[in-house]
Amino acid sequence: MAFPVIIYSADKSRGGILHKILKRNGLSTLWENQLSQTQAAVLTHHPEIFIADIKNALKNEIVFLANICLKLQGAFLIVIGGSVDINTFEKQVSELVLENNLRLTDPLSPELIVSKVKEVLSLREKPLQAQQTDLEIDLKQFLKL
Amino acid sequence: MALPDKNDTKIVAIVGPKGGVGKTTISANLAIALSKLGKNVIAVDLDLGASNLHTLFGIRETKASLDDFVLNKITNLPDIVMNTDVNNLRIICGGNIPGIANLHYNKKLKLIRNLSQLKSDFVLLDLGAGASSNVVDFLIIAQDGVLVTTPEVPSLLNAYSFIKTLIFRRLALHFKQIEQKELIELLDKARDFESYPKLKTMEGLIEAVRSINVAAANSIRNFLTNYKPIVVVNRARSEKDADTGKVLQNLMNQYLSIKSSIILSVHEDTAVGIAVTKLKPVLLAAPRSLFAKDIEMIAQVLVR
Ligand SMILES: Nc1ncnc2c1ncn2[C@@H]1O[C@H](COP(=O)(O)OP(=O)(O)OP(=O)(O)O)[C@@H](O)[C@H]1O
Ligand SMILES: [Mg+2]
Repeated sequence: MAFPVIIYSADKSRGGILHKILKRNGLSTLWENQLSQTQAAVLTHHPEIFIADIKNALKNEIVFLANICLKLQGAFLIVIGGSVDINTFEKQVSELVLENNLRLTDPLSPELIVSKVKEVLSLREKPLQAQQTDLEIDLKQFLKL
Repeated sequence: MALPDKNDTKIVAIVGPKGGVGKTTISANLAIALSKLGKNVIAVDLDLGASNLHTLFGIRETKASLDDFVLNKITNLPDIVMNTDVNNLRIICGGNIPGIANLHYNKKLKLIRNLSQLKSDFVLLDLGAGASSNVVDFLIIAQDGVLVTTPEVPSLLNAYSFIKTLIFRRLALHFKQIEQKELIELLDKARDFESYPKLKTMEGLIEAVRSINVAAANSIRNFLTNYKPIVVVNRARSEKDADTGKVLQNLMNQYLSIKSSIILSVHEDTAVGIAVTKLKPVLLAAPRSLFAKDIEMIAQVLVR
C-alpha cells in the first residue's frame, strides 16, 4: 500500500498524536521515528505530503532531513517544530525545497495540520462529487438550478 | 480590446462580489506572503473611490496615488509605485477623489494598459466589491483570479453568480468578435434558462452552440478547461465552514463545467482584528497565526 502522507517524528507523543488524528480523518498515513527508515519510506511511497517534526532536533538530524526533502519530487513539505529548530532548518535547505512547503511553529496544532493536509490532497485530485448537502440544496434553490 | 504586450509578470486579481468579505485584508497579507517567498510584488489598490489598502500597511500619508494618474498629474504609472517597509513589496495607493469610481472608459483603458505593463514577479489587484465594469474590466489582464467569499449563503450565491457572469461575458465577447448573431441570441436564451431548460447547464449550452458553430463550441470548451479560478472561503470558523467551498466547486463543475477550480480556506482569526488596531499587516504582527498560515498556503498555490 502506498502512503500519500508520511510523518517523521522522533518524539513518541507528538508523532503519535499526529499519526492518530490524521488516520482518524481518513488520511492514510505512515509514521516513522527513525531517519533511515524515513528515507526509505519516502523513496518507496513517493508521498504527496511529507511532515517533518524537527522539534529539538540535532544539527545532523536536520541535515539528514534536509537531504530527504531534496528527494521529495514535488511533494508538499510541512515542517513543524520550535522557532529555533525551524530557523536551523531554513538555513540547511535549498530554495528548491522552500517553494513548496509550510512551516508551522509550535505549539503543535494537529487540527491545522489536518486541514492543510486535506487542502493539499484535494488540490492534487480532481474535484470530487460530494453528496448533496443541505447547503447545496439551498444554493440550488436560490439559483433556480 | 487589444491586449498589451506580455511580460513575465503574473497579475492576480482579488475579487469578492460581496462587500466586506476580506478582499483587502487578504490582498495585503498575500502580497507579504509572496514577497517572503522571494518574489517581487506590487499591490495595487483598485477599489476606486473607497481605497484603504495602504492603511493596512500603516501608511498614513499617500504621497502619490491613482488620483494623480487619473487627474493626469503624472503620466507613468510606475511613478506612483511606493516602497513599503517589507522587502520586495511595493504598493500603488488607491484614489479617493469623488467620482473616480465612474472612471471614463478611455482613462480606464489607459490605466489597464499601464497596469499590464508593470514589471514585477507579481502584481496583485485589490478590486472593489460587486460585479460592475469597474471590477470585471480589470480582469482581462489577470492571469489568476482569487475569488473571496465567506461561508454564508448570500456570499456563496454572489460568488457563483459572479463566476457565471464572467463566463457569459467572455462568451458574449467571443461571439461578438466572430459576429455570429445566432450565438448571441442563444446566449440571451441561456440567461433566461428557466424558459429554456436545455440551456440550464454549460454542457447544454455548448451542445446548442455546437449545432450552430463547431469551432465556437470547441473554443468554449478550451476556455473552460484552462479556467482555474481560486476560491477562498474566508472567516471559516469550522471545517464545515471551510467545506462550503466544495459545495461551490460542485455547482461550478455541474452547471458551469468548470473542472479545475481550486478551493482554499482562511480561518476566522482574532489576530486579524488585533493587527488592524496596530496598523500592521497580520503577517507581520502575528506571523504564526492560523490566518497567516492560511495566507501562506494561498501564496504557495500562486507560485506553483
Ligand atoms: N479571517 C478573518 N478573521 C477575522 N476578521 C477578518 C478576517 N478577514 C477579514 N476580517 C475583517 O473583516 C473586515 C472586512 O475586511 P476587508 O476590509 O478586508 O474586506 P473587503 O472585502 O476588502 O471589504 P470592501 O468590500 O469594503 O472592500 C475587516 O474588519 C477585517 O479585519
Ligand atoms: Mg476592500
